[in-house]
Amino acid sequence: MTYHVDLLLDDERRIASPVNMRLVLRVGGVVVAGISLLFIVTLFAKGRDAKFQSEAAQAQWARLEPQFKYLMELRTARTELRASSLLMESFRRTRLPLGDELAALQAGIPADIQLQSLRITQFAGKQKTSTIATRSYELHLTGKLTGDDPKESVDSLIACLSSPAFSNRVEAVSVPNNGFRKETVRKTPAGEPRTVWFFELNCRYRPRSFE
Amino acid sequence: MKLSTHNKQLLQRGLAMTGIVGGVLYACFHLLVNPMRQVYGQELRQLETCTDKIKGAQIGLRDLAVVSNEVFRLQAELGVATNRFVLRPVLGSTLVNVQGIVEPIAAACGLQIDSWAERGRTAIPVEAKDAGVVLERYALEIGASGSYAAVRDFLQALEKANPYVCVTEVEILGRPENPAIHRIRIGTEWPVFGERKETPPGNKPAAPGGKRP
Repeated sequence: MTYHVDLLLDDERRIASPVNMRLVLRVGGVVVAGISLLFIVTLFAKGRDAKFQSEAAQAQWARLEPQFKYLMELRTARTELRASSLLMESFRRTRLPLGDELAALQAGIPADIQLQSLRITQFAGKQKTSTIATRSYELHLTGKLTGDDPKESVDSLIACLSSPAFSNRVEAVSVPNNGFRKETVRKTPAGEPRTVWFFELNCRYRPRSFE
Repeated sequence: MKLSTHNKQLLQRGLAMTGIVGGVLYACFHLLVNPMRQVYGQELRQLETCTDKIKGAQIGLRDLAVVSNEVFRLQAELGVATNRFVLRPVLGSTLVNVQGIVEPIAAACGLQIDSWAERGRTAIPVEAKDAGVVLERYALEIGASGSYAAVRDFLQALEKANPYVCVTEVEILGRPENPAIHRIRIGTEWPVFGERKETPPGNKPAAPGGKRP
């Protein structure tokens, strides 16, 4: 082990490091300045690039915009036209072609039934599961029977209204209370009494939705 | 421990240099980098907005032909339907128009019309606030006399002549004094143009049409 006596005064002291502080500071300064410059240049380049891209995009948008506006106008027009068509179609969709219905009834009613009245009425309603409005029809028939088996004739009429010819439109067919009865009638007050069967029949059609 | 004069000078110069460099960097940041970053950010946002608009427009424009065809088809269909089948008043009277349609059909079918009764106009219970055409239902009751076959033929002919007319009610009552000629009541609903309710400004949709670019 060697010993030495430190005789240096304070102002004679030098830093023991072999690296020159001045050089370190200069190099550090240059590096910081370089990095800063690089950062600024990069930022500037990115900014310019973004500006060019933005200008290109705006130019592209300027080319597309008239077509896009036209598309928007078409879409608005389509919405209006669809809504108008829906209104128009609601007439066709909800109507029951009663001319055809009368023709079908004429073909289906047994020959020994003599109709006294026929009434088809419509009433407004709403769908069970939604608020969509519907139009429903109900047929009310009254008539008399002259055949030997009046019940069979009425059953035959009910079967006709429940047959495939009607079943896509008809929901339910029913004879109301006291809707099938017999009465004794005379053609003249002094005439021979005669038994005549009368019937009533209700037929409910399936509701037709407006939408 | 006291520093030597040389080291003190060195430290002071170092501190001064650090201060100057820091100041220059700070000034650079605030005067150059920060505005540039703001401009860059603004450009990027503009670019992003514009790119989104372009993408959306490009996606939308793929359907241009489909939408265009649908609009022209709907316009044509609706034009035909409204021109032919929606009633227009004749000298302010819709009834006159209906009479002009119904009477020849009734005469051809052997149905004698005895009375006409207007039952007013009602709105169509359809949610169609966007509709360009305002339609209403014009209700009319016709009293007539004729045979069952005449009513049947009349209704079939009427429904064929106007596929939008809706026969809402039919009543055929037998008459003991004349079994072949019945008393008939027919309820009808016809499409008519209604009046557009003014929409508040701003809610009004853009007018359709315009020239194709």
